[in-house]
Amino acid sequence: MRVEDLVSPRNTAEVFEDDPDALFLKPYMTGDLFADVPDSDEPDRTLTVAIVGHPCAIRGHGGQLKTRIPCCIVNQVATAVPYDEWPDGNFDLFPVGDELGLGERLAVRFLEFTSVHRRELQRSRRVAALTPRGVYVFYQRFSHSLTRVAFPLAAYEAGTRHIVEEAELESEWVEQLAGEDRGEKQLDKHVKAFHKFLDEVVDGEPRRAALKREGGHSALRKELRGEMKRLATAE
Amino acid sequence: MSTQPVASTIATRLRDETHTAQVQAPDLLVAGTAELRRDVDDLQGNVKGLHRDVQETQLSHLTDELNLLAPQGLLDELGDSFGVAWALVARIVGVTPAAVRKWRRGETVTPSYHRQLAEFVAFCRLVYGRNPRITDVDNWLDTPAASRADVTRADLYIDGHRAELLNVASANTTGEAVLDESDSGWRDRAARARRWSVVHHEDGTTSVINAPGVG
Repeated sequence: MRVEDLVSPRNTAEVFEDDPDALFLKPYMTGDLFADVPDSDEPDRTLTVAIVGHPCAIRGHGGQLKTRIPCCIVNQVATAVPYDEWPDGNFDLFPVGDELGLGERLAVRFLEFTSVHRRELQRSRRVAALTPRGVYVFYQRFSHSLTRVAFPLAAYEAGTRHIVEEAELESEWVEQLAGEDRGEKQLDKHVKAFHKFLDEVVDGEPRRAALKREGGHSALRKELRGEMKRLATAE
Repeated sequence: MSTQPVASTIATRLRDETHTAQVQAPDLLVAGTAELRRDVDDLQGNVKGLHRDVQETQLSHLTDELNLLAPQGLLDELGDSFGVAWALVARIVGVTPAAVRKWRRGETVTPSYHRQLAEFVAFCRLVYGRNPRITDVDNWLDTPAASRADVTRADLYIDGHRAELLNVASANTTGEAVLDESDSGWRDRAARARRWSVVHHEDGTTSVINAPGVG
């Protein structure tokens, strides 16, 4: 029985992003794929994993990752699952397009959980990330795999959009201000500065509150861009 | 096209009919007004088409002018004046966010993408010109075309409904009307989406719940 509410993406680019710049600059987000992560069960083995925790659950103060992050294992499946067949079955899989060059017939296995220490999830190990739409599709498929309830994608978008928007702004801020200096520590410094700016109270509430208001994200984006220009000039 | 002959014919006939003929007048009236309505519908359709053509011509002319500017200037206007998210620019122009990132750093933009950037700036200017109350074009574009619709105005732009969107901006039509003409399934999808709503908790997290009052 086809579950029509489950999305069948048109192609890999609709759900995944693998631009090296983006992978290094984007904040940690649900669906990020990391390669060469040491397997805590077998020290000689490494894994490819995907973050499955909700952004609210994986990131703490200042946008930093929490100590242990819930992930699922990514590995090869016996038979490829074409995009148009996503609503038909294989509900415990989130296929990873071969176009990403990470391997043939890879998939996130939603029922194979592991918990990864944040020190292992380095930006340099991130091999793919999800587009904003990909994040919503991932949530939909993941929650359906656990509950067999297929909510419309719009429900996930409505509940998560402010987080995705914040991630886009963080990425722009870090890219603009880090320039060519892209060490992990340097990026962390800019990430902290970004969140400090969002946490500053203006007119009785932190700036980040604008992300949850109708139309607020656009006004905040203009303000952030002004601040980025000011900081870039000051440096 | 003139509606005058039809209307005056009906009036004249009604005045001149005998008692017997006047019994038939309602039939005549129905036929006559039906013809009149068809004429008006045709006229309305013609005027709508003409208006759409003129708007597209205006957009095209402004695009031609803006196409003379460097891509960097167009991106600056989108980013600084209109506050547009780069992800939205990428969707509108039909490239990856990585491509837009490279353009912002000064990498070459092909002529066809250059023109699409110019057209998008032209469109943003025209929206603001049509309705100065739309101070935030980015947000206006990124909003569902109708209540609970899963199609945003940006989606309609991408699908080519630019003149119709300019009509929406100037309040000459509604998003619902544009969607009805372009996407027959949107009302069913909106009805399903209406079952859910989002609550924001005090700690900053959110939950999606069954909408109050909806079974």
